[in-house]
Amino acid sequence: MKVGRYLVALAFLWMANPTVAAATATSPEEASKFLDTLASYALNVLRSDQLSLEEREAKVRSLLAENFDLPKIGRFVLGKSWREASEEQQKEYQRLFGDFVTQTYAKRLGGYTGEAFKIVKADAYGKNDALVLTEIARPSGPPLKAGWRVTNGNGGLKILDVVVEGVSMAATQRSEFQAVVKNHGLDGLIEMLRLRVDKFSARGA
Amino acid sequence: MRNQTIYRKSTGKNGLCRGNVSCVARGASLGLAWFAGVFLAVSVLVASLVTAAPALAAATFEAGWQAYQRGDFGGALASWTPLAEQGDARAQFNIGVMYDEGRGVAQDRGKAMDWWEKAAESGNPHAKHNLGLAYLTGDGVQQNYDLAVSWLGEAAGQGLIRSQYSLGKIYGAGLGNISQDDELSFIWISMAAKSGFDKAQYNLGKMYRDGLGVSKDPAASAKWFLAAAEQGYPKAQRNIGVRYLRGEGVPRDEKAALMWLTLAANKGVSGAAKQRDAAAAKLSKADRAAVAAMVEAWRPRRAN
Repeated sequence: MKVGRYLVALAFLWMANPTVAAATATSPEEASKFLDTLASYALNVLRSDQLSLEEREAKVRSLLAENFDLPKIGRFVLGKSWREASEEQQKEYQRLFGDFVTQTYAKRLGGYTGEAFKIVKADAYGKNDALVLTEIARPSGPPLKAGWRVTNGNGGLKILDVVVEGVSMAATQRSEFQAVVKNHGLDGLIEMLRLRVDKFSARGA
Repeated sequence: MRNQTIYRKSTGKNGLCRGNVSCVARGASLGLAWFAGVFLAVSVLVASLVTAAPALAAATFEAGWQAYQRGDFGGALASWTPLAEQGDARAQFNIGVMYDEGRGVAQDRGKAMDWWEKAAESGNPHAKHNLGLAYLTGDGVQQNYDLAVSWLGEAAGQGLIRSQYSLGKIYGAGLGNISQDDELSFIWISMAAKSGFDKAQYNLGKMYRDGLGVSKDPAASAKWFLAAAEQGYPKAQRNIGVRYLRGEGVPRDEKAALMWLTLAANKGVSGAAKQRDAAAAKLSKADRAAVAAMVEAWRPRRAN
């Protein structure tokens, strides 16, 4: 009985593991290089005084969309509801999830004006992925420690998760979304995502 | 003005100073003039401070906005916080956004709600809209559909298109204890559509097509699908393409149908590719080439 339950939990973890489909192992060195290139491109955009905040954020959004494995993250975050969803729901959810994630992170990064970003080290993560540990200096307080889980997917290297101060962003999102699905169903979650990207942002005079 | 009058009066007295009484009067009058002068200076100073305060507030708000645009969210918060505490609704709204989005501060949706409540009480429509959505989704607050609808209704009444659209969608579907009401949905969606919002125009096209909250009207349906399609809304492009293909609400026009269906299919709208091929099959090679050129030259038209 106990063993059975354990096996079920294990099977669930295996199914929920977003790296299962990745075929090739990701080299930590390659992952570091990938992240370094990405960071210097992002810093160029964020430091630009030729671009408005809105334009900088739009560029960061497309950068995130290209370099995060959003479809895989979206499926992971939804958990078992993904398989229960209709094709149309899946399509709409993925579209909104991509908007939601890139918008959320672009807004947070919009105020990052080029404090030092340092790659500390990189290591293998699980069987197929690599984890690149970075430190981001802050105007005050100790540097922010962020780990980037990089996977070798179909379209080359992609970021699968960001672990900030030991907390996985994907896992956090997953528990938040699953609570919404539990109370309001998948359509409720889709509607929530739609409404969240519909709020007004800060305004000038 | 007052100073001059008093001054003239006192010089007048000066000329009449012949006796003690007059001279005492003159001294008193000079004293009065001095007092009045000081009084005036002080009142001018106070008045200029009062009129300068809004100018100063505007400059501080602008300084905050400049900092925000640079990505210096700490600087923006420093400029806006004193204004917000004095009741400036725009500063209150923007600080609410910073907490909601986690810009330069740790994300705190509860604090965002507090600032938006303050701004909304001063009538700020954008704060009302965001409060409405927060109550709808239960972000940073206990979900409350009645409050959501009432804040969105206020913002919609003040003319915010997004609030009108959101209300239209809520009434169209029914949500929690808010029951479905097609007539109300139609009213709000058509308001947003008439203001040029492409998603609302598309929805209005569907309402006229299906007779939701209004009598069926194929011509009106086609008109609104076309309006959204011209702005580049892909699902509306598929719908207007189908109207042209079947001649529903518009004269049948296979070339127009092929153009819109091609645009929709290029955007990956489901079912559009199949209908595009159906339209193409009805046209000659020359017509198809002409349509290909139309697709090439087509550009979205932005309403607002």
